[in-house]
Amino acid sequence: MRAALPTSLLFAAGGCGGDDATIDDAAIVNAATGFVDVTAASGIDFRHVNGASGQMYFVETNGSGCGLFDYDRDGDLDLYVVQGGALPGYVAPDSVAGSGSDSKASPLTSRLYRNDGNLHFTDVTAAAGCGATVYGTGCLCGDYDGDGWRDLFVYGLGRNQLFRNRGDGTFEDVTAKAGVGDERYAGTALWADFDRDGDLDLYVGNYVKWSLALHRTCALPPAAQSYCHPDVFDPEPDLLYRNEGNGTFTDVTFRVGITRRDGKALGAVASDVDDDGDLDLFVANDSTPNFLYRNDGAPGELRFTDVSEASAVSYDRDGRTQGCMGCDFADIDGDLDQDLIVTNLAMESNAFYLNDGAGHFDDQAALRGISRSSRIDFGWGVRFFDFEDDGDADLLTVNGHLHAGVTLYDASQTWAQKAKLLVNDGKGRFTPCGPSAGPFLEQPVVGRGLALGDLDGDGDLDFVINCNSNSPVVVERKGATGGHWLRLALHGRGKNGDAIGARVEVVAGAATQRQELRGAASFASWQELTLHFGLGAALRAERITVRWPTGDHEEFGPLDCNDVHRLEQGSGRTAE
Amino acid sequence: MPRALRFLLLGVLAACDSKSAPPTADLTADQTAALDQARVLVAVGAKAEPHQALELLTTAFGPAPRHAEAAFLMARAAFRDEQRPRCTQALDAYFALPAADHPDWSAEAWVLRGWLLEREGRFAEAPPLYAKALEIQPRYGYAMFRTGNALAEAGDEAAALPWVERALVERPALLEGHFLRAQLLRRLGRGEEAERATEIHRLVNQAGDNGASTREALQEKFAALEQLETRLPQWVEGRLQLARMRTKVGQGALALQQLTALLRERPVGRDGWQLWIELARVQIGNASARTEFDQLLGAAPDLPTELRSELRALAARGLRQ
Repeated sequence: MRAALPTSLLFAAGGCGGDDATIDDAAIVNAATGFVDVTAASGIDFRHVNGASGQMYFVETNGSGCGLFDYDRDGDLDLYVVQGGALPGYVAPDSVAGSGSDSKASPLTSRLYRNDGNLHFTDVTAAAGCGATVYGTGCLCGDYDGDGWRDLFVYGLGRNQLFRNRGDGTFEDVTAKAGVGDERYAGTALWADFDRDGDLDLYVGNYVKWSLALHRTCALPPAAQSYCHPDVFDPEPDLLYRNEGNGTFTDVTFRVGITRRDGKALGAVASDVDDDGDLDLFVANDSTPNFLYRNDGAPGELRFTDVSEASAVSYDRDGRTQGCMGCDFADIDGDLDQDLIVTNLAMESNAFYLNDGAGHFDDQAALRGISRSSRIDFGWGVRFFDFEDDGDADLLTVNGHLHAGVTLYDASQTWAQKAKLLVNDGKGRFTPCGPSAGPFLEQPVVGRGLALGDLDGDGDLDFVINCNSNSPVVVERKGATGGHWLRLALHGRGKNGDAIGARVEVVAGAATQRQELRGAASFASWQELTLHFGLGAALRAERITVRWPTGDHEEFGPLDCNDVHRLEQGSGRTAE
Repeated sequence: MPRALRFLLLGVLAACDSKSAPPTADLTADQTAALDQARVLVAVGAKAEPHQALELLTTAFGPAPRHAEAAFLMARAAFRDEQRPRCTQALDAYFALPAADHPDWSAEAWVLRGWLLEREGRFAEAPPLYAKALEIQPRYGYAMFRTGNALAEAGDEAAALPWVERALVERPALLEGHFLRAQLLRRLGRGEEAERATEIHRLVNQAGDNGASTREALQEKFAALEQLETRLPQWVEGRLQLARMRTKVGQGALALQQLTALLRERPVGRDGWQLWIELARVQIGNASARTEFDQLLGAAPDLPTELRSELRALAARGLRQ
């Protein structure tokens, strides 16, 4: 599994930064490399259909996400792209690429693409039987039944769908049996073992009460009509399903403390924000207060306390709600606690909440260089990852406006917008990178879901963006990153074999880094489950400490850099 | 239009209403037009476009205008557009002008200077600049709030809290003020007070900064205003909103009762009196309303003479026999 070593460390100073940049060590890779759009040769012929016909149905705006997961266990990342759907008045073209046939004759579905290697993919949806028909927002690709094969949960407007991976290249729709086919408009979802009983529970964040019967449009001169603000629709309560361990789920939402009814959810991430050994739940809501539920349950128990306002993540720095979409956690300042990014509407700037270590947050977007750089962006997918492999978390956001005709009434906005990469100076201040980080960053897309993963197995992180009413984009990371790296594939005991929720600390040289393995992050998208650590100049990680989802701690290492290591629970040294 | 845009810098703008501009005799037609447009584009509201305002002003006046209003508006636009160097340049230009003696603009300009320092993490340096704003306008609530914020960021929560509370006396519905107050109380270990402050912030957010228009949302807003009537009685505008909402849902008698209590308690403000006159006419008839109006006015001996005359004229028109 050993990947090629970087052949050179190509640093070029001054690649990132604006006119008031304060970072003097913003060195990045050679301008000829970086992020490059390789979609054309990828074999992916999917095109997202939002069903627009000029009626301005509210649901057209949000879709959709995507997922990177190894469905056939052949060692590489396959791609699931979530589809929207037809709406009244929508006229399908004679053929829609990615539908597999004449789109007028067959329904639009989400699609599964098998990774053939060399960044080429083949549509295997029909054979696999996992073409979800729900008007999709996003997907989860975790192994809910613990059989070692990753399954698919696709959610959106209409009946959410759960597809069980049979392990032979095919899936079966087990929605009814599992009891997770809620029909409300879902904006987000995640898998997490909240009760630490060894299997993955399911959180579904619902957006607003919307259906064709509740459709309305809003005027936004000079556009004759436009999409309504979510304020026009009532919030829809979220759902928490406990995994019963036998293929079925039980809705336990209100009885375990998930009690808020005033959120319009579009993002959710689980993280141990107060470092007490269990996973807490953050929900990003659109134009309503965000939620943070602190996990107060003992092992085997689901019990949450609403600490949204007390933790100060409900609002931005000025105490106002924002139009929140994607979200992710990472330690950005090296103090080992989990800090939070949330993408927002244009003109609101993204929010960045610094964790004080006890689960109290402070929105420092302006202070950290995030506010200004995101002000005109209409943000969706977002991930922290180490772009330079220098040992700190950088930030990638994907943007795109709701309305194809936005420029008619807002000259500062365009439908397609550039993705944005911000590099961390190691102290938690960010500076934007331009085209020097790769030509893709100059290429506007109508971005929505963002999924990161090493698509070509070369040891760096590539990504896929699903684009509203457009084709997805496959972006390869080319060239050397500038530092050494370590990739860790965890294998836990029991039904949570991917060890979702594990926490990993890597000590390399003088630095300690901490990451958590998440069952969903970004917007509506599933991420590669192998953890990627940049090591800078270090040639090895001296010590790796894993806190498994069951609560056990184990140490591994030393481990050499520039390699993928598989860590099996029970094969390391017992640690405190 | 994103709701945040409507509220961005609301605190600053609410504190400093634009007054008449300096003479524009020396301006070209393009400059006059740019100023006219910029005033709208940097105001709070649906037409706010600070970036566009900034470009218009820069084209017409250059990056460092030698015209006080242009420099001031450019600074405000640049700040809102998060263009710090351009904001600094415009502020330098503003303060270099001998004509920069407009008290509202100057107070806001000092606040922007301080706020820029905060954006750079130089929190300890900001309060003296806010103090300059307060020298010009001693009741400038937003300058008080920013002083509290800077002190809090500099780690002095105990010193910050009184500033935030002073700001809330001047601006009872200052959302960011309630938010920061709750955070400070929590950090100071005053948990129960923090809980109450958090709840008030939540209610103010629901009642004020809430564009939701569904039946459910309006009911929530109504409920929030009802709670704030007792929890935040100094927020007169909130109580007036409540009276209007009560009237719309057929609770006119209760609205009149509430409004009468408000005017007995806080008799200032033309809007409240006008609403009272409209409500009283419908609820108790002109004759009774006139009698009660006279009693109410009589119970407010400290009202300025000018306002008293204006109110009598309003009542004479609104409550004709």
